[in-house]
This record gives sequence, C-alpha cells and structure tokens, in this order.
Amino acid sequence: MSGKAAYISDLAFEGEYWGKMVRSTVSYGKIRKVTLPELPHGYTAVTQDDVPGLNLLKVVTSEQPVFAGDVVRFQGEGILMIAGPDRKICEELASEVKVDYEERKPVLAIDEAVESAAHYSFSGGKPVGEIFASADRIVKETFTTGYQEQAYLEPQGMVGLYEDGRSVVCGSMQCPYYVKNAVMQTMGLDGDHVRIVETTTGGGFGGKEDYPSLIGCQVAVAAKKTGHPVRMILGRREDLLTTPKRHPSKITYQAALDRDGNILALKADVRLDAGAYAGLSDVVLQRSLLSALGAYRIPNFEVYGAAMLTNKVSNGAFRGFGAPQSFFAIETFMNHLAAITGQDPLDYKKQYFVQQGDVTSTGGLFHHHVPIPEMLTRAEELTDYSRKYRDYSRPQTGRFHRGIGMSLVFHGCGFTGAAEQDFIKAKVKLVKNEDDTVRILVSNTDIGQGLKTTFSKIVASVLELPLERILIDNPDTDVVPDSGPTVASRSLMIVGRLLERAAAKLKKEWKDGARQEVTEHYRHPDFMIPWDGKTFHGDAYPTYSWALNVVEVETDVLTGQSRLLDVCGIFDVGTPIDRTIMIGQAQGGMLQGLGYGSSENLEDRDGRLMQTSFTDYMIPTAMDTVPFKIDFIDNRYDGGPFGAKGAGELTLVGAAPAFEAAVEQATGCRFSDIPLTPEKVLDALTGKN
Amino acid sequence: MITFTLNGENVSSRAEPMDRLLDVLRGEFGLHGPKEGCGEGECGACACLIDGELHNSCITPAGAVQGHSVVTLDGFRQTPQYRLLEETFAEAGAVQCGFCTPGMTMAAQAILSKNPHPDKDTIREAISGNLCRCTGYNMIIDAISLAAERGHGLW
Amino acid sequence: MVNAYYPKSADEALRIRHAHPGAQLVCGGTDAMVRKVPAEDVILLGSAADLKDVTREKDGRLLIGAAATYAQLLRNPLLPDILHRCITGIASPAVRSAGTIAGNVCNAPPAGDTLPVLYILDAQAVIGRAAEDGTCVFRREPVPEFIKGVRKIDLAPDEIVTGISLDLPSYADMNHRYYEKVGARKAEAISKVSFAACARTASGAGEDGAPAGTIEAFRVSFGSVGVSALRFPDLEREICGMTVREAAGKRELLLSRYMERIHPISDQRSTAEYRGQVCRNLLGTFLDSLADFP
Repeated sequence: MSGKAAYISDLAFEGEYWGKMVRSTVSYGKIRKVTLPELPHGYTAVTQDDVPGLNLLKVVTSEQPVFAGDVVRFQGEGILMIAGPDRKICEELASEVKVDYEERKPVLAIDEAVESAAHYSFSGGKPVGEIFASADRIVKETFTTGYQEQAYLEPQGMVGLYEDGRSVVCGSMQCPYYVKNAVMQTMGLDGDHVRIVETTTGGGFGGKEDYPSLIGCQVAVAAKKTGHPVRMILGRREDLLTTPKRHPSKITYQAALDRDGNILALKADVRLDAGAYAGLSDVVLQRSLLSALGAYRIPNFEVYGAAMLTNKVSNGAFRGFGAPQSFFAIETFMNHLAAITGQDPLDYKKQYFVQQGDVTSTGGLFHHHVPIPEMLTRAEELTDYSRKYRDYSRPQTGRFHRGIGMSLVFHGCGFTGAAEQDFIKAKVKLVKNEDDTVRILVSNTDIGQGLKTTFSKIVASVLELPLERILIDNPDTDVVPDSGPTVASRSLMIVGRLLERAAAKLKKEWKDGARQEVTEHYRHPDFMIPWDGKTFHGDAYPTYSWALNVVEVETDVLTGQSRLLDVCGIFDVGTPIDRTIMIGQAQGGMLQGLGYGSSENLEDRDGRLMQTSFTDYMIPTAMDTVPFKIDFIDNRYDGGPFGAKGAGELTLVGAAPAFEAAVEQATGCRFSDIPLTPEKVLDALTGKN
Repeated sequence: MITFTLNGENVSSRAEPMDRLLDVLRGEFGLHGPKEGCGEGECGACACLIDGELHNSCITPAGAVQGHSVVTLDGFRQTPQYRLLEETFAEAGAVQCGFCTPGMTMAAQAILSKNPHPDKDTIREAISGNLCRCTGYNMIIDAISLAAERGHGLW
Repeated sequence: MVNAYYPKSADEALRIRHAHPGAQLVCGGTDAMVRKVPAEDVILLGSAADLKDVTREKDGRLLIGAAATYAQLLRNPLLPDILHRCITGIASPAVRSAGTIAGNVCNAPPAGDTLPVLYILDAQAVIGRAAEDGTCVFRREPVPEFIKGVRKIDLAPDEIVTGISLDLPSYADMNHRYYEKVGARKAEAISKVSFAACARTASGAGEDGAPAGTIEAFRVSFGSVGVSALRFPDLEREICGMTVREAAGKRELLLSRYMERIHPISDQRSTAEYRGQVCRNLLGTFLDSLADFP
C-alpha cells in the first residue's frame, strides 16, 4: 500500500544493462540472414550461439527456442537481444537490426491446422452412434471463444545476473522452480548453480506461469555473455503482443434428443488454438475436455479434443485454464436446448445436475457433496432470478430491454490428473527460530491472491500463535523447497494442507527457545480412483469447487451495448480461510469473466494480434461495473486446510455464460460466440428486424 | 533546468522538457510510488498530483511542471490522510497485487480533497482512469468511501 | 538538447513562435507524449495565464482559451451542457486534468471527442500570429475548414491557435439537444461513433393534436466515421422548413440520404457495419424526438 513493496522495476543492480529483444515480423519463415547495425562499445547482440546449454525452453516438454535460431513460428517471437548500458540506445539499435526471412505459408486458423500439440478421446455409457441414428431429433451447434489477455498491471520482466559460475534471476513470476529448471537446462548448470528469486509480483493470473522462464533464460544467457546484470522489462505493447494468452476455442456439440427433448447422448468436439508451440496446451486441453460436459450427468457421450498448432502467439495459462471455454459452450448449449424444446433453462438443467456419488465424465466420482440446491436457493434470495426471468420473458418495447442469465460451473481442484503425485511432489518446510517465530518456506508466490496471509493464518491457527510471529517472504530457491507452482488453484488446498500438517507436527515437537525444522511431503489422497493419462480415465481431481453466477443486464437495442444491472456469485470453496480475501477473489475473478464475455475483444489478422495496447484492449474500468453480491456455501473438504478447497480460478469461469444468457433474453436473439460485443449484438438485432 | 516543488521540497531537474515526468520522478529522484503499467496514459499506475489535480505522469512532459507542485505517493505517505486510507484499504480488502494501489491512492486523495463526502458513483468516476485487474474495483470504492466517512476534518 | 519556452501570455507565445517557426506546440501533452514526435523547440502553452481564460465575446460568442483544460472547463458554468457532457466522456480524470479543446482540434484525430459538438456549435479556430514589428494579428476559421484531413490543419509554421470560439446565442435557441458517445467501455474509450445534434422546432399542433410545428433549425454531426467529424449543411437546409410531421413521414428517406454520405471503416475498435448502423439509429432517434414537443 505504501509503495514500499519492491517490484522488479523498483530494484537497481550495480552495473546493470538493459536488454531489448528483436522479434519476428513474419508468422512463419526461415531466417536467412541477420544484419546487425554497428554496435557501439558496450553493446552486444545475444543470440542462440551464446546459449551455453540447450537453446530450448523447458516447460512441460522443450520445443520452443530461447532465441529463435533458424526458424520463426509466430509474429513477435524473440530472435536475439541487444544488451547494453542505456535503454534508449538498446531500443534504437534493436529497431535497426535487419532480418531477412524466407517466408513460408503460415497456418493461421484452427480449421487450417493439421498438427496438434495434443489430442484425446474418451467416452462413456453406450456407443453414441446407434443412439444418434435412432434419435427423434439431433441438435448441432458450434461455439467459439476468442483470445483473452491476462492484463496484469505489472508488465513482465526479470533481471539476470551471473556471479561466480552461478546464474541468478530475479523478477516477476508465479513459479520460481519452473524458472529454475528452465535456466538450468538453458545454461547447462546443475541446481546448486542456479538461484531464482521472486520479487513482488503485480498480478499473474496464469500469464506469468511459463513465460517468465523464457525471459529468465534470455537474461541469464545475456548476463553471462556481457558480464553485467541484464534487465529486461517488457513494454506493455510488447507484452500484449508476445506473451501467452487464453486459448481461442471452437467447440461443437451434437445432442441426440428424444421426443420430449431429453438428452439421450452427447458428442463434443473441442478444438483449441495452441499457437506456435505446445507449451502448456496439453494440460489446458485436458482441463477443457474434463469440463466439456459441464455440471451435467449425461448418460452416453463421446468427447474428442485437440490443441492445434498455428503460427500465432503461443497460448498458455489464464485463470480457468481451458474451463471457461468449455463452460461457456456447454452452459449456452443447454440454454439453447431448453429453448428449442420449449422449456425453462433452469428447469431443463435441473434434470441433469450431478450429485455426490455420480460418476464423472472420465469414470471418476463426485466423491463429495455437490451443493447445487443450496446455491440455487441462495441465488434466488439474492437476485429474485426466477421472477425476473419470467418478467423479462414477456415482450419488451422501447430502446432498453432487460435480461437475466444464470450459469452453474465447477472447477477441479489442483493439478489435473496425477501430476501432483508423479511430477510435482510438493514439499514444504517450517523453520522455528530461537525467538519462537516461525518462518514458512514454500515456493508458492503471492501474486495478489493473499497467499502470505492465508498461509500465515493456517500456521498461526494450528500453532496457536499471533499472526505477527509467522514470517513469510517472497520465495528464493536457495532457501525454499519446491512446493510446486502457483497454478491450478492448488496453493491453498494442497500446499496449505501440507503447512497445516507441518504445523501440527511442529506443535507436537515444539521446544521453546530452540531452532527447529519440520518438513512435509505431498501425500496423494487414498480415496481417489487412480488417473490414467493415456486412457483418460479415473479421478482427474480429488474434489471440485462450485459456482453459481447470475447476471442481469439492460441492453440498448439501438447500439447493442449492455450495461450490468446486477451481478451475483455464490461459491463453494470448502471453508473460506479468509473471507475478505475470498470476496476479493470473487469480485476480481467475476469481473475478468465478464470482460471475457463482453468487451475484451482480441482478434488476430494475418497472424498478428490487432488490439495490442491498453487503449485498444478493453478491460473493464470502475465505470463498467456495479456492486457485486457475493456469498459462500460452507461445504467443508476434509482434504484441505481447515476444510478449504481450490478457489483462485473458479470465480472467473461462470461469468461469461451468465452474461450471454442475459443478453440473449434481453434481445430475443441467440448467440454462440464470445466476446459478445455490441457489434455482434446489433448485427443480430438488425438481422432480426 | 526545470524547477518545481516535489513532495514539498524545491527541486530542479536536468530533464529535457519533453521527457516523461514518470522517468524524472522514478529515475532522477528515485521515487518508486508512481509505476509504469502501460506508458500511454491508460492505466493510471503512474498517477501523481500536480497542484492537487490527478495527472498521469507517463504522459506529462517534464516541462509542464515548471513552477508547479508535484506530489507522489512517496510524499503523500507522510500525511494523516494517507494513514487513514491505508487503514481503510486494508480493512476493505482493496489491495491484492498492489500495483494499481499507488495510483488509486492518489486518485482517492484527488477526489477527497475536492469533495470530502463523495457518493459511491462519484468515487467510481474518480477512479475510472485507474485500471485494476485484481479486485474488481468495488472493494476499492468501499475503502475510499469508508475513509470519507471516518475522515472528519481531514479533507 | 531541446529548447523549451514558457510564455507568460498569448502574445509572448506568438512572438516566440514567430522567432522559431514550426516549434512544437504543447498544451497538456496527452497526445504529444504518446506520439513522441521529436522537436528542437517546444513552446509550453500552459504557462500563459490568458490562454486559460473563458470569455464572452462582443457578439455573445464564447471564447475558450487554448490552454484551458477539460477539468477547468467542467467547472465553468459558461459552457453549454452539451459540451460538459461531451468532456465528461473523454478519457479519464487524469487525462482531463491536462487535455484541452484546442489540442483536440489541432491534433484533428478522426475520433476527436469534442469535434462533433464543436461542429454543431459553429465553432471557429482563433488563430494568431506575430508580425515583424511584434504586434499580434488574429484570423478566424470555422473548425470544419481548419481541419483539412487526418491530423492535418490549416496552420502556418508561425501561427498558434489561441482559442476556440463557440456560437452560443444560436445554440441557446435550440429546444432539442442530443449528445451520445458510443465507446467500448464507459471510461477511457476512443469513440466508435459519436453523435451531437440540436434543433429548434416551432410550436404548433395539427388538427389531430400531434405536433405540426416547423423545423426552424437542424444540425447534426457524427464523429469517428470520417476523416474528421461530419456535418452536412445541405441536408440540414433541406430539413429546415419541413414540419415535424413531414419529416416523420420522410424518416426513411432522410436516413438514407444521410447514410449515403457516411462511409465508416472497420478497424481494431469496430466495424464499418456497426458504425453505420449506429449512426443511422442515433439519427433516427433524434429525428423521432423532434415530435416530443412543443
């Protein structure tokens, strides 16, 4: 609050240089020649030839070059860096670098793409072919969702240093150990010779899950080559152009219905636009597929999905991670099925809502209570949804029409599948100092979601100590064990739980005035049906968090613009550890989801993103929102600290479909695309007339 | 030389008249309150007060402050008005990642010094040039409203 | 090394510009600082106190000094409401602390927020120049003629726009007034379409009681759908003289006549189809409102 928190831009390193990347201006091509301007003394070009280890970025797999060597695969891909003492001179020199490309034909759309980063199929119930063949009615609809930019207020940036044979990288990031592993691979160094320090990070939302590893490698190489610390902070336009976005999607559903409109079988085809490199796309696709059937018990189904490679920005993590795309599609499809069969959407959906004990789409179980009835009751109390839905269903006249929409979504808590057990293997440490203060050592980062507070509260509560005696700093890999990345809504539920256990252990062994250390390792819940990534079968998640969103709008039929009248979110995140923080997550997440559904239009043309400034990429301002009604259903999860479940992403997932449903009612039009911009709304209204 | 008052002190700057005030404040004077979020006057993270009015320092020419008074968060931090805002921002959960917070704080001071009892719509408009991606804004509006309620005689 | 000048008055500014023709003129700097055009000489007009004045001219016109900021203008009751409404929708509070109407005119961007309102207020640019002997002479040019194209204005290297003059007396007679800006969000939005309109209808009812008065004045201007704001005095002259009922009967024809002249483009902010349809809808709504009273 006081401005004293040190973001990477606020720290100075002696003798530091600035680094400016030269980036590809073509979508796909072979680099024939690079011509550098004359470089004054002190200015260097850092290229693939300077990489001591592997010129490949370690993410899940390693296929993206750190410095594009011979081939560029998207506009904005980093080719080389100009490093030197003065920022302005570096930028001028970088702009004078000439790159000669032999352009190749790029793949610029999902439909044109042939290669995928990953693909899966799975099914359940009886084979759907016969059911479709004999169905009374088949409804097919395709839904599309666009890019979304995380738009964290602090642009991405890091400083790399090379001292005594060690690479040190500090900066804005979510996952210090991801950066460490990447830098180790690119610098050809072992773990003792790489140190990563997170500086106070001004927002991430997934956008700083893997990209910091790329910047980290680039500055690490540059620091070794130049013998100086090298700072690279992206300009906002550069950040918007080149860092990973939410995957655009194209999702097609086919429903086989009986005479009464009941769903006999469902086919889902999910395509994501992965961009140029696989990166995290395999995992995003998995979560998208796991959400494809929504909160519904569908008797017979077939799901296919693929993350297609295209010559555009390489997409990655953004709060929701594949679920917002699927939930938009399935919630809207169910609304449309209800309309087609002449039924009220909520009544229609109620026939299919899952319950505790139901089988999931991958043969796992909803092991725990599913609080949909309680959420519906509470939503009615807060929004008067059913009465308003009926009122707004009557014909409306005049310039301004109203509508109300509801969505019901879940978010699988923690890392998809068996990764927590097989790869992450989280470890936490508590150190009790001689003065009886306790330091929390974890690699999770507080990127605004209040982890420092919630972790401290958990430990303080178990140890029965005042909060001031619990210490926690930004993670430094020299000091903290690897408790896994700050992603997948796992920090509180998984790492918090480890801290809860560690604190309990420390309490038992507590010795006043002594220095003590306690560690805890991840233990896989034994109630889980084992996950098989190849057959896509089992419990993909230990449990689920749930959300019900209601959005009421007023649409101007002359301009297609909609304004929010009322927004409500009811959430089951187990037991909220800190209610104020949780309300903040709900408010922030829902507004991001509303932006995703309405104003955050981000298009690409000829492989280039069109809205690459805060002037043109429209995130909501304070004037675009209204007070939100937020409430929580207590549904304690015994596997989480004090009963808490994953919460960070859930709050974004349901807002866009609720918004779209509201605008559909207000306009009497049907939509299957987000962002639902005024252009699209007015087009539909004009077509209607 | 550009001479002006900075956080209450008379200073002079070697900056060129069309240099960004943001760079002068952060670079020449080492003040880290104002932040660079976009460099185009859209996000408000760089906001400071010039003669009590809110300005985006990233699009303010250094020459424009000649003879005027500039206040950044770094100076405002010493005041009782700031201390109250700090209290209400914490209470209302208005700070998440903190990057927009310095700009929001200056916007709060700008409105409260003009209008000590603003309604929530007025506050909403007062921060309409400060982008926040974390909080959804409502808790920030609540925080400023709470400060106005408690700040008898401060503004 | 950039030379900066801080004139204390309009006359001083003109003499400096005369001595350094082509010197960069900066008021708030909100546009100049984003576009970053390098210059050797810069004249910072904000230091000239008389350039911030808002004064009533002899014939009742309102003269707004070139350096009067949007924030100052919002506090000034001499400005017509329609201009207050327009300014409130510009950017953000911080940008309004610095931006100026003269700056908006001289930058002449196609989506300039103030332009449609200035056009229906028959605004003139007041342009000064210092002669050899140091005396200052002024000329006036209607803003639609002063703006020659996208970011092109009719300003000589030794001239400075010292103010914008509005025809308040004729506007005061208008009994129908309308302003709307359509942007992608409610603040900080470059407009997709903006619409400013005013009209004067005489009272009078037909046998059936419906308004039948004559349209005595009619002005509409569209922003962001052309090289600059658009106003069509010839179409306006056709409408003047019609009764309200006549105009209502010719609604579709009048809309088509306007839409034939408006050719919006598609860009990163919006589409040609949307902009065109919104222009049509807003104009239609304004025409319909003429029947609201008297």
